[in-house]
Amino acid sequence: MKLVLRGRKVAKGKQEGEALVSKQPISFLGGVDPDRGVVIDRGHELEGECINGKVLVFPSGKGSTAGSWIIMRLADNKTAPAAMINVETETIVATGCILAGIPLMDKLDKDPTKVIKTGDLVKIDADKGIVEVTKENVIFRA
Amino acid sequence: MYLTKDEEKILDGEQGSGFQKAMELLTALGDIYGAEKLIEISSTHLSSVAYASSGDTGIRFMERMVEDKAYFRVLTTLNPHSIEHDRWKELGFPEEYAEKQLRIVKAYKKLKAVGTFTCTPFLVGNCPRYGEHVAWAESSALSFINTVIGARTNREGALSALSAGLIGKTPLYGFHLGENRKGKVLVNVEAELRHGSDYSALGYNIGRKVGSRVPVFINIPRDARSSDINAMCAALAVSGAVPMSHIVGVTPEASTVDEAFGAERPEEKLAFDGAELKSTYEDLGSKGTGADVDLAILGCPHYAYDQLAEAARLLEGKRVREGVDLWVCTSTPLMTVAKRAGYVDIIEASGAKVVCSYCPAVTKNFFGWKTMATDSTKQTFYGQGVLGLDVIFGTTEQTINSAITGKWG
Repeated sequence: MKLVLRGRKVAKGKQEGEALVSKQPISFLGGVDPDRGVVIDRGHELEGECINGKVLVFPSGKGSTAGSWIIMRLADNKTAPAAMINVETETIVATGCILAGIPLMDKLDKDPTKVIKTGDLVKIDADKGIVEVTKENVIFRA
Repeated sequence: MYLTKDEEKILDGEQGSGFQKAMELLTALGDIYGAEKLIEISSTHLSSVAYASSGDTGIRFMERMVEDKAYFRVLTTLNPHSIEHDRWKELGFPEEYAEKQLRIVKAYKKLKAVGTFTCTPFLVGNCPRYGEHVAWAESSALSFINTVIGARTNREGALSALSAGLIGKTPLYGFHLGENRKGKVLVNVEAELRHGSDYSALGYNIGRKVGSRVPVFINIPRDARSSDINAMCAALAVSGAVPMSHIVGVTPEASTVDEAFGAERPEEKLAFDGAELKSTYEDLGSKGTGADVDLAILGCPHYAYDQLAEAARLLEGKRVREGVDLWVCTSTPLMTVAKRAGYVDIIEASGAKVVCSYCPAVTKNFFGWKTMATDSTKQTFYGQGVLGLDVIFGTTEQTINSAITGKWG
């Protein structure tokens, strides 16, 4: 089963990867280890999860604006997500993704934290404003 | 967002990839916030200059900007960094770490930034006028210039401010527009504010309650020093995300309560009374009674002359206890003049150090410190979060006394 969503490009680029979805905002400064690409925010639903190579889907960033530097450090360390999708993005994540060259989209026609599930295969083409989701169970059947 | 022909060319990379990245970021932020266009700014002030914040990525990023022949088109000043700029060796900062910090410093210099290395740039030559559009990071300083001077800036991050400085422009939205600068929450200050740290406590207490809504303060004492208000602005931006306050009678846009709120009614009314003041100190300080202190930090935000004079008065003829560091943080220009005035010699004769260009919140704990005393709620927050210390908050006098005795209270 394939789901096509349309939304707004924030940071350009085309990527694909396995979805990692959270319904909670993410604070990159103090919440993500830039060396390992792992969520370290205590009590966060993604705590302990590796974000490297994933399409990270979450509502928005939060916390210190220095979080943008963490996103850039992730890219530099090759521990960054392949792409990110927000419900509605803000300065911290937008800045980090644009300068790190990580595709970022937001304002999709459906809430991405509800219709995309962890493990789904997600293709994102930010320049065209298109997100293609292949549901995980279909991949397994094929 | 509408771009001029010249702006389009920068976005297309005509001036190199450094300026192109900056323009990409500004247009994306402009689109996110619904700005119609970019406007010219006269200055920027940048945070995250510290190696501790940006790491090796920061070195590479800044050096690449230099290679791309980018430079700041408007006055650009810089926040404190991870070491004492001139005396790092004497104070024992590790050489390898200092060298990395100094590489970042060098890159900023090549990009034509001014190495102020202070969170109070308005005291050392980057002082916008009323109504002037600027793009500043450093949450305390940007809140001070919005609140006290009536200059106009959004709450920029380090990299959005950096991009604005490279282009000399910022998207027109938020606090650049008069209608977004109106007050939302009325705060009646009923407590008697006597110490600089009382203002820090006030800001910390109210910041938690207002979040990012603009507070309107009434009954702030008429004799409040600029440094007291700066302490309050700093704290409001730590426990909350307040980019601007109105202080009726101080803020140029708030000669009366009605002017501060515009046509709107307050969303909420808060009172800050003596009990609130006491409980803020207790929350951040009371657990420290009798505790051993091995670090005392003054100068968050960086101390001004009147505060350096106060520290000198309290330390004159006293001796900081062996094994305790008392560091008074300020900028190099202020230190130089304060030295001429005799304050620095008095402070250092006690064994304390006047430390320039540095902030404990943007570095590592190189010295094995365990428990910090400070007169700043902002430093309390970062001392815990960044340095992993136990931190006790109190007045300037209590902080100095703890350095003299090695114990709190």
